[in-house]
Amino acid sequence: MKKYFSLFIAILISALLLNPSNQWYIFIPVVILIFFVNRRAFYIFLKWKFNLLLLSLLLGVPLLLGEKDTRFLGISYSSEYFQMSLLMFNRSILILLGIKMFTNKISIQEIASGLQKIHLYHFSILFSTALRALPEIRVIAQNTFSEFRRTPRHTNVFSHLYNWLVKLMVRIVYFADQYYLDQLKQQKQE
Amino acid sequence: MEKNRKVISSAEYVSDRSSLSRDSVFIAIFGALWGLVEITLGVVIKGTRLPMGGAFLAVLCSIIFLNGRFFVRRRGSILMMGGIAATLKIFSVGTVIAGPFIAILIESLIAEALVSFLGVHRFSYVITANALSVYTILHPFISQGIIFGENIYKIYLETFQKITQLLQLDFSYLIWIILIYVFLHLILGTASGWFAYSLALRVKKEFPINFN
Repeated sequence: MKKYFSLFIAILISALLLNPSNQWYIFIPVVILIFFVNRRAFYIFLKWKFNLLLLSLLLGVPLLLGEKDTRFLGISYSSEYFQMSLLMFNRSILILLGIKMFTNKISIQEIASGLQKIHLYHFSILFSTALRALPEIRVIAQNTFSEFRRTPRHTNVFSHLYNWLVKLMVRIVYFADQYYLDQLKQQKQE
Repeated sequence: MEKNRKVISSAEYVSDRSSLSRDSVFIAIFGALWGLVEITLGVVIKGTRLPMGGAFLAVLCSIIFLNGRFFVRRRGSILMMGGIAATLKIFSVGTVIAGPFIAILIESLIAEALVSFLGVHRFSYVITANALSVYTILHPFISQGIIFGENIYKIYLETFQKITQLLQLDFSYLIWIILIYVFLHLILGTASGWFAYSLALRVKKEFPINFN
């Protein structure tokens, strides 16, 4: 985990250091490195909405903003804004690929145990507890929501929603209380 | 969702059970609930591009952690819940998770500061929910500034100027539109803060807990 965390920090730093003069010397090697470390990080480019956002940043901004001082294939655009967009494009790709590489390479359980090593011991225990409780919480929320949908409404929609939320919160509080008591029981048995 | 379930599950790598206080258990469970809402509803709201969707999600999550804070009278608990929710969020399925991760951490910091300073009562809950609701307006500028760099602000400024020119609007009209937008967020924040406190009182009545 330490190796991937260090790599992630290095990618973030390289993204922050990007400027118009050095961007290609940093961007290309870092992207190649990420490719060899974790190809799955590049799956983010399979989402068309994400690609559309990046393309609109790269191509849309110079076409719409700034002084149109350059032409390409008969289309006028702003060279200043194109340079700016290209830098933002490269920076965002490095940061997002870095995050994706990091979350692909380490598991959430490794994060929980890793937090202990950096002296966030109490938080790591809380986080582990949260992970253990999450499936049950999901079941409680789903069941309460199913009841909410099935139960005929005798009051206005806000009162109905309020009653449902009270039910959900009571069940969560009850579950938390029971979880604590079960834990105490287990401690006593040990 | 299947990938979500596979990654987020209790496993042999988690630390052994240590004795936790009741407060700590409540923090963990309310943090997990907050994370669950962010992972499930957060994705739906983002996908539907609901107007003020970020604000709706923020106030819904504030209802959860403010209820948790009502039962955990300990400073730092909202921050812990936020840490849990943010860590769960960053491991959820989705391309852009950096923005929500930063948002959860900053929201928990703002909420913690306000509730710790003002105390646990209806007024502080209303103020906190309002602060978070208004923060959702600023958040895209902060997260995009981190991801894209400071040049994004220059682009935003020029875009606003172009829009006012195109619509032949005086700049003061744009200010009015922004103020109305902020006012709508304040209405949402006030309603949810009021609701969060009422909900906590009602839950306590239904399930009285003595934390002494």
